[in-house]
Amino acid sequence: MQVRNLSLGDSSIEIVTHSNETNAMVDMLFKGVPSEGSHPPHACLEISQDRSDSYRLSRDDKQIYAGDSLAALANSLMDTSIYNLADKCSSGLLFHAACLSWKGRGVILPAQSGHGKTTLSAWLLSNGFDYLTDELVYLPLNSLRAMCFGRPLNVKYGAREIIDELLGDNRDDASIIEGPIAMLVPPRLFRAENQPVEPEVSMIFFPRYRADTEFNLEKLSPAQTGMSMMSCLVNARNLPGDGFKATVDLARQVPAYSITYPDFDGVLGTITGLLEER
Amino acid sequence: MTSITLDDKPLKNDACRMEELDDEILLYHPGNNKTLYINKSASIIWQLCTGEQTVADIISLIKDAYPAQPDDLEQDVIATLTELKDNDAVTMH
Repeated sequence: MQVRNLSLGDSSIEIVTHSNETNAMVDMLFKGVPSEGSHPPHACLEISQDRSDSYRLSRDDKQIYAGDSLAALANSLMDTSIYNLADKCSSGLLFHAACLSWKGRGVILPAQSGHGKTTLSAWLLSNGFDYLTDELVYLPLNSLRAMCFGRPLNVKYGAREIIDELLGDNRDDASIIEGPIAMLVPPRLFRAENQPVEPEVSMIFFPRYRADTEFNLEKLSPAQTGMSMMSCLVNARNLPGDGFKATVDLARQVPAYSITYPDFDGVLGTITGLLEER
Repeated sequence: MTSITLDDKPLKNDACRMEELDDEILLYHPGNNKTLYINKSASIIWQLCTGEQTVADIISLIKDAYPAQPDDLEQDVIATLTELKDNDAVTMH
């Protein structure tokens, strides 16, 4: 039996596995997620296998998944872990966002699903950025130190062509988990590693991929930044004042831009250029 | 969307939390979890929503204070108040 803790701030859960196969999967999925939290786990996710090698995922004895697909199990485990961590997190701001670092400077890419933040992250990783997460960023209250849910990149199949190009010879790597609507790709396959660091957030970019537009970069006012960050705050109901004041304070401190792009030409130089000026 | 008349008296919703950032305002309504961005010109309208002045009074005050405002000021003010009302940031009396 293996027990692995996952933590973001004051929210922790534990994942229990019973076989080498599922141990290895959990290690791969969560090697970049903090394991030492300030509170004991509030939920236990357990993966078991029956005699016919079907997998069963349960939360505190309530069944969440049962079936023979390791990829479907991985997706279900990922979604359940994220939900349960966010559900009880009350010690800081938890944003739906990607987070990378460049020369030690943290960059947050907040966006709703479908805006291309994972694909943009993969591109930036392939061009010298370090990886922290493509999904959840945690900022303790009154701090700019980013702690991240460092899962493998969750790549939608709509972006398969560009991702295959970035992966090159790694596109058939055995560690890629192909699920029904997306594949989980370890960051090392983009020549980046999960970074155990907690970089200070230097800049925020709101990415928007649109094939039918021209490249556009717009500096956002603190009020515009605060408004957009509030739409990506996932644990507002757990926070004092719904996290509004803390999010506004963040918007006052960190410069932010919206970046719209039809392809990646110019994106890298624009982002690194702005970071160099900081 | 609901219509607003020139005789209505808009009043800020006390439940909304406000943060001023430079010349702009963010309003957060905890009841519906909505955040509303108000730019510099709209923030002036918001400040005038005291419940004592009518929409016509607000338009007149802005015209007097900023004579260079465009001809469609009245529509702009009503559009801003409509957005504030539709997001429960003001109520009409």
